[in-house]
Amino acid sequence: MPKKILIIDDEPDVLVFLGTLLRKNGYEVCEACNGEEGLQKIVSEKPDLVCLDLLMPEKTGIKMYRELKKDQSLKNVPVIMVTGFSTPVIGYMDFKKFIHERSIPPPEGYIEKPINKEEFLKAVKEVVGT
Amino acid sequence: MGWLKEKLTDLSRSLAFKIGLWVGGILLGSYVIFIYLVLDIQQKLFFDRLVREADRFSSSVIKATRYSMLHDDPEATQNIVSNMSTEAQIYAIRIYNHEGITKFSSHAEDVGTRVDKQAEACFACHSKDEPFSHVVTDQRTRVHSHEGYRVLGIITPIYNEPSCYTAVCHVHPANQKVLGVLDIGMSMKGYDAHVRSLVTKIVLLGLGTCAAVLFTIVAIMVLRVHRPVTMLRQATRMIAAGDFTCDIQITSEDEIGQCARGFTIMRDQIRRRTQELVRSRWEYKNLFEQVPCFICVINKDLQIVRQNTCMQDRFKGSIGMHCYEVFKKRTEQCEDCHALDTLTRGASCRKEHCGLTESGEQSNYVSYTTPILDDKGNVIYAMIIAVDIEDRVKLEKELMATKDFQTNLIDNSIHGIVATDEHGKIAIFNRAAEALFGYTSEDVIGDPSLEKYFPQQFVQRIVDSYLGKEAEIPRVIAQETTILSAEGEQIPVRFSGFILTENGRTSGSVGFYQDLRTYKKLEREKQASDRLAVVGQTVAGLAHGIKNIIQGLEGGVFVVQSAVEDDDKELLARGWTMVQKNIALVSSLVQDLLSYAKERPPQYEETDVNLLAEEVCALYDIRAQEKSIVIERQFDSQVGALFKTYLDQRGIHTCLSNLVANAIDACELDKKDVQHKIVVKTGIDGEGNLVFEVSDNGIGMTDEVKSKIFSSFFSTKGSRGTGLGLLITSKIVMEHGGEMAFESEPGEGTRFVLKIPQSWASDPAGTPRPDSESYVDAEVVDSDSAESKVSASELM
Repeated sequence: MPKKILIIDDEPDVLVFLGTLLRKNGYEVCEACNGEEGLQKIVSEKPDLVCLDLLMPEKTGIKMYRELKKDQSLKNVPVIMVTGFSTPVIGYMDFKKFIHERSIPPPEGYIEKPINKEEFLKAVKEVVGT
Repeated sequence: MGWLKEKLTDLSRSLAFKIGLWVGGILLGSYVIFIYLVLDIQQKLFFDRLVREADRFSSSVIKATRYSMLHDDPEATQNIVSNMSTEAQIYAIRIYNHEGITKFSSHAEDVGTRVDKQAEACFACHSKDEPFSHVVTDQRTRVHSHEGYRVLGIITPIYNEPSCYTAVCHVHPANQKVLGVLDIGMSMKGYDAHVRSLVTKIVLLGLGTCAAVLFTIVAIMVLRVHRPVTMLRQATRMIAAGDFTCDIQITSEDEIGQCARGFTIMRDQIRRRTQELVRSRWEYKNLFEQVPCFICVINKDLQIVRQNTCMQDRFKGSIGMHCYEVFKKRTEQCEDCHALDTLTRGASCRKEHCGLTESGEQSNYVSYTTPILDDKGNVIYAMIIAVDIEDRVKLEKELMATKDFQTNLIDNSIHGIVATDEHGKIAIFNRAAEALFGYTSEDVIGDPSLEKYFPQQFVQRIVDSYLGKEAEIPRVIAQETTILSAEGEQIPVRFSGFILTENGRTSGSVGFYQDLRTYKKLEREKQASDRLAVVGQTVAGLAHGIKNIIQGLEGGVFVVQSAVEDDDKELLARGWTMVQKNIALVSSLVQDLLSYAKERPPQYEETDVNLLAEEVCALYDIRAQEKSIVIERQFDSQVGALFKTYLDQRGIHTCLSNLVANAIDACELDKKDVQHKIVVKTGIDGEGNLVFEVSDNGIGMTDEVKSKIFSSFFSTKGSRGTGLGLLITSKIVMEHGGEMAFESEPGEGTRFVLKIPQSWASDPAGTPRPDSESYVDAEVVDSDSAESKVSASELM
């Protein structure tokens, strides 16, 4: 039974790229293009891992992450946070500070764009296994 | 007993007593004389009647005894005598013969006795020792006492008549004139009693009348004189004692009544005058004591005769001390004594002095001396009135200190200060102003040509204020302008000017000049360094942007690669699209970068601001209409009407285009079912800045987006935008010396405001163009606009 991974990103190109990469490595992939849809898919698809883009329209990645971790039934779903380069101002440090200030547990993994394929797969593997 | 004596003394002094005494005395004296005279007449009348009666009785005895005598019948004669002597009032009847021998007597024992010729009864006729032949009646009577009552004796001679010497007895010869004497003694008992009764009655009547008259006079005197006079006297005493309550109850019309009325008037006048006197005395006393001056009266020896409390309290002098001892603690009189002038010449003098108080403190006072004259007009005293001017002297010193301080402040101010006096001439021209303008203050002070020193508009305001025109705002605050120095250099300054008024009247004006030469230089340097900083930031952002594109390219390549490997044509198409899009993005990025980084010097040219805004609106009209968005123009016709505006037209065009394009995107993204509208506004704000405003009712921005919109390569448009639009806009605005602000609410819309300073707009090079108006009203800073303004420079 392959592990199911949910990719949430507003950029269709990223969805295509990461989807292709993960499928080729034997994972089952589902996609969401914003936070709202992402939360629905977490409930409906019950993924083993969520790859979350930090900055998105509608509901930003941070807000979605906060809601996810607040929800008792969903908070145990592991998350790998992906930082977009279109947001050079908010880096990982800002994010860590942000979640620390609000007593939110940190995500299970953190990946910066441009996404290095090997690093990404390694991080995924660390969280969900092969 | 004392009071009795006093009463008596009072009585003896009283007018009524004296009048009573005199009137009584005169009346009594008159009565005594009157009674005496009346009594005397009455007594004489009675006595004469008695004498006549005795005489008649004597005649009767002679006639009764004639017969018996002629017949020489002694017995009969004796009988007649005895019988007649029984008659009432008859004390004795005797008949003496020629020899003086009692021949017949009512008292038998007397018969035959001889009477002494020298005896009282006989002496009248026989004083010459010879028998008289004839006697008058007056000399025949005598009064003598006998056994306690008085007896009237009367002798009647018995003359020899022919019948006598011819009688038969021949006893008496013919040549004998007087034969003998009849002696009758009549008792005066009745007479005396009558007289006594008369005297008693008359005296009593007299005394009674006298008493009645006296009583009446006294009563009238008491009632009509004494009592009113006493009242007047008491009233007089009361007034003398200062009591004016006495009321005189005299209503009579006589002299005393008139006197009383006169007295009442007099009393009222005295009372009024006394009250006035008392009041003015009290006032003067109070004035003397309470007036906050030192007052003393000195005599010709300069000794204090009188002083008031104020002086006593301050100088602790006492009466008898010399004025110089008290005022100045000196031992001899002052060289410049002006009190002596007053004492000798009688002139009033004034002089300022510095005295010493008891505690040794200096006390400044101004002293006035006035002469006090006696009734002959000679100066007897001088009054010194000294007013404490310690406060004034202190204030003068403080004023001097403040003036020095202010002069120093003005002189040493790093800003130029130029002020005019109330006549509109230069009065203050400090060192900084000298340095700034290149004139010396000596040259400038008094110069009425204000336009050399003040901006034209401020000069106009000064003129207006002198003409009484109400200036809406009497001051100019922090207006950037230029001045012309003595060397003809245009110097940029920040000018603040104020019209000074005093009680609504223009009392002058003042201008402050901040030299902006250094500031302008620094500003230009800062702009250059800002640009460098922006370049650095841009490079960093560029790296991110390129990374992003590389990511897209890498992803695309990977997808293409995977599609080729898996022979998935659909995936191949998608991967290839990704590659193409990212290549296009590279192209767009390079375009924007060129636009931003290009060091094209701004080309300022005279611009019709509203026309420029209209061009931009027209450019986007069609695109907006396609998306059902309305572009509304709100152009202020005053913009450009008052002064010429110099802008980099292409730059501002780009700015407005960016903002309008952003607004269209924001409206397009907004899913609200409303008529989307973009408002483009031009205008001039309270500070005189040229303002462009682009607002929309589109999607609005979250706080997160707001904080990043001026960052390089930040875009909410995903792969469509480069994130440089607003950055370029803010750069252009900054080049114009302005600032860019915005406010936005998610779901409500966004409003961008570009402010370009008027001075910059009209004078971008920092020097005014000859044909441009560099002066612009710039005053009250609108502090109410506390909206979330983020200036472009802050964000960069």
